Amino acid sequence: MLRPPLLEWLHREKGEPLPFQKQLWKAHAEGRSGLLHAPTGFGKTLAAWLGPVAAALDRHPADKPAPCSVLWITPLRALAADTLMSLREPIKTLAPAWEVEARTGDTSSYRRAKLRERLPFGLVTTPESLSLMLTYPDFREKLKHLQTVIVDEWHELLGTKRGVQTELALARLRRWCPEIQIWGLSATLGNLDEARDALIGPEHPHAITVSAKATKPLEIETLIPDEIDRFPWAGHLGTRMVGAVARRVEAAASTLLFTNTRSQTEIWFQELKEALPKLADSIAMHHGSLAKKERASVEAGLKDGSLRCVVCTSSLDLGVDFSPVDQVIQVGSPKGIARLAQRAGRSGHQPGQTSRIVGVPTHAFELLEFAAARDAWKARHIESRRPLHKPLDLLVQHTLTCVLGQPDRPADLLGEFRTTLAYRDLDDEEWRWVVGFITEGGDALKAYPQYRKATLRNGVLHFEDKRAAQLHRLNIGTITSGSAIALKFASGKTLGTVEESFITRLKPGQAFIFGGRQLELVRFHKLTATVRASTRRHRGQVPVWNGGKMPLSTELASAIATRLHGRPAPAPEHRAVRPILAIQRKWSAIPGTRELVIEFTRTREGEHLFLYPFAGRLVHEGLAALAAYRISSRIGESIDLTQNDYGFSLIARRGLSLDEALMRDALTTTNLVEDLLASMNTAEMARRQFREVARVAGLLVPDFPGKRRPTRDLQVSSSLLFEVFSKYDPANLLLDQARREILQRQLEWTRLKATLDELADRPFRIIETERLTPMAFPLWADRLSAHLPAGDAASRLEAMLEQLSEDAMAV
Amino acid sequence: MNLRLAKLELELLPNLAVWLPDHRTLLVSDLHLGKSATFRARGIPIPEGETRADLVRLQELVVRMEAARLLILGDLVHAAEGLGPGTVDQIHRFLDASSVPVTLIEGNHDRSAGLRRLDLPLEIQRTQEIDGVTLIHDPADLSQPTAAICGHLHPSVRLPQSPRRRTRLPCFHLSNQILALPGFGSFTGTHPIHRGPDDRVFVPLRDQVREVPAPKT
Repeated sequence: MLRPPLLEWLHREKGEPLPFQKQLWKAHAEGRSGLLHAPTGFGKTLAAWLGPVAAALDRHPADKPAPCSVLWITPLRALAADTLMSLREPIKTLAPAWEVEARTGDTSSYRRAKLRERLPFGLVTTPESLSLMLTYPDFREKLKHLQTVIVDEWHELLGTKRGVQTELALARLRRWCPEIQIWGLSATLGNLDEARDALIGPEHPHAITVSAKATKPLEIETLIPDEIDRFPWAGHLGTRMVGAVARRVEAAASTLLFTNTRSQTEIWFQELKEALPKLADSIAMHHGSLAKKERASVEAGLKDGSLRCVVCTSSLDLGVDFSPVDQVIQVGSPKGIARLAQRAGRSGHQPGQTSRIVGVPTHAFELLEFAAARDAWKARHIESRRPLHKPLDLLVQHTLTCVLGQPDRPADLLGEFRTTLAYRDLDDEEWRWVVGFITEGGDALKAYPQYRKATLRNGVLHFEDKRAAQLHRLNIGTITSGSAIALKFASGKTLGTVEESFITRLKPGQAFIFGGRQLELVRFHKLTATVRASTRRHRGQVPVWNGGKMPLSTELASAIATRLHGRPAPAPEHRAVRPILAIQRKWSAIPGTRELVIEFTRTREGEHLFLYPFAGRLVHEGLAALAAYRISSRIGESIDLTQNDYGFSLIARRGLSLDEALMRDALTTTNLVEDLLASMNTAEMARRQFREVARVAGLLVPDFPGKRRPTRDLQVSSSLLFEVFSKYDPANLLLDQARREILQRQLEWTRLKATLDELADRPFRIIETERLTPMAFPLWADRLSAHLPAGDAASRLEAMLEQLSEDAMAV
Repeated sequence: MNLRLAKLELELLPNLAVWLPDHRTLLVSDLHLGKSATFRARGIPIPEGETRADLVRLQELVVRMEAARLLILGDLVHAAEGLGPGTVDQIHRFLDASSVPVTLIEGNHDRSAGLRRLDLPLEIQRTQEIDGVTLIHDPADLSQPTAAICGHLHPSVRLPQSPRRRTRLPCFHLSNQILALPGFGSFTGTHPIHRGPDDRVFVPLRDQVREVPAPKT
């Protein structure tokens, strides 16, 4: 527990502590480790920080620099500065001689050199920087007094390779200092216990989970439009709700308006300014690809109250001490329950207050999504984030990291690694392969000639080659950096970042829209795309950069399927969409979780099948490809497909039918992996995935723009590497890993398999419909816009809509 | 595919090589032997296999064409670190077994790797001239505009494979009377060409070389 000087400071500066904070301080004083689960910006920082500070005040004099006692790991470099400020606050008063510093990729080399000499009392760092420090032989000695490690925003790291990198680094620290306490700070997750095991290791007695969730109720309200289209498709309601939203913004002192994509952010920003001319100057926009400086000024404006409304994407999902706002508005699908709750948590920060979020649907079914999110939240059906399972590329990297810092026996390293959740069942075979790969390359039978990196001498692994070590250090920290491309004007002014996949689709001279501006690509080289303002009028399509599409979570999808049937209890949103559901019921049936509804219909384009498994977009993408592949090889027709979060459609000129046996065959789990791999361009996907694996395992040498390159002779493309490995070492486990990652990530293998298993036990209800039903319409419309030029698609869409609406009036 | 450059007749072969029928000479470029060994020596584990495979491929081609001479347009090897005993042995074995004289136009990688010190049984030259055509590694080293055949550039061209996807293929690139050969080594990358309006581009497709028509403007 806290004692007088600290306690007095706390009462003076922060007021009465919250129950969960006291609980955590007590647990820390008892020497325990654990996970703290609380909404962002709710006092987690103080809860985690004051425990170790209290302990250190007992141990070290406050008027002399104290040895490094606390490591604070943050997933984002950008958060480090904010974190530093919060951590220094109590220290400034209570122990002014103690230092709290940051060491991240942003830290200058001068500061880094200073930090190499002497570590501060509290060190804020990222997983990459921590790994890097593990490669220095004297790091262990410097951490002799380490007492607590805190991992901030652990839910962000969980389920990623950086998360596994953190698990491994923590295992190392636990082995060095068995007494250290490890605390993770996490937002809401469905699998908190698993998250804790990943952090602390599965074999850890006395670990606890402290939860602040009971202190803050959540209310989800929805703006229900006066008039509802019977045939909705994504984005159609669009900004029709802007009037209602503007009234809400006017009525509140401060508003955060979240959207799902950056293009929506741009649109709502413009619309709101027009709807509220008097407030136009106090409305701002915030998204992750804006340059750092612009973002900072928005954040400051929200803090000092000069801004009334900020329109943003997930860029504001994270952040320390972000000042609470009066209200939070979510435009478009909530996508996930935890996500909605986290965004809602930005409002009503004061203890005991309620978090409120106002949902704004962009199409009619999203009304049900908000209702379903509320149902699921009440029932505490919240999404889980699954930790990754033994990625070998990372183990290759980390083993070298460990051995570089300190030569070690393979058996001791294996023991250390097996204390993590990720590698708890790493088998001897796999470990032999890792050791073999870093010492000999290949396997024992065909070692790679002249290969030199780590060596096994007298049963001890060494890594002494200076140049290889230098390359290795450069390589740590490149786990995620592959895809962000900086957009710059030729003058050097940075505009922000986009995904590599977006920029590689553009040709020099082509126009696109970013951050509200029409730009033209000049050239794309290394990790920078040079652009200029586009003045020419461009013909044809102008791509709008809007970030990736996020699938609905399984938990939310299944809550929606239930909600479609008006369960568990009546809700206003459900009443509002009743007219749509009436037509759906009349023409077909309401899909749900008890049976699989399959609609068959004919249009001008051919024959269609619509299936509604409610498993989320990614799974439907895999299911659609699988079913299309199997049916197509049966009937010999080419099949087109579309998918959304509710279901998927297949279309062929002819040959589709209402045959249940055919559909059962198309969705069987027999031969699943083979058919799935055959149905998609998995060879190409594996080739692309191999790039990440190769980078993490240190096969690709990172390229640092602007520096003299000692590595000119070592440049090679990942696809060439992929070929060489496939040809000359096909049994290499890294190839295998690339294939597994494809299945898991691109196709959500676990979820897809579970969906198929479940469908096998469900009755199929195959219905021939005369026309497109309200649920089929969006799937049909998606295909149209992908296949026809914009103008033709729009007129065909209008014609179909008119026809369907007429038919519906007759109902 | 047959071409004429100055007074020189030449045939582009689908095996990434050029055949000079009047001289019974085979031209290849940029083998970068020992490239994967360079990686291994620097601590990057990459399997061995390409050096051997490339030399076998080259040997077969020499025999099939019944060549009287083999001319390599530079970058026979990649880097000094890749010239361990394994790689050097293989090169020796190849040259010993080769029934024809081999000439190497020295490339930048050959120079920085110190290839001359190895005393290989081959003739090393900076440039050579045949029927009014200069053979050179890097076309930037030409002292005056002239017809030439060169290596160094590893040219490739993007071709549509389907409406949505494009694929990159190594190519022969003829620009301003200079013919650039594709890299012969299988562990070498390629660089997309910038195609000038009067340039001609040829790609090996299965067992033929086809000309890529100029893009419509």
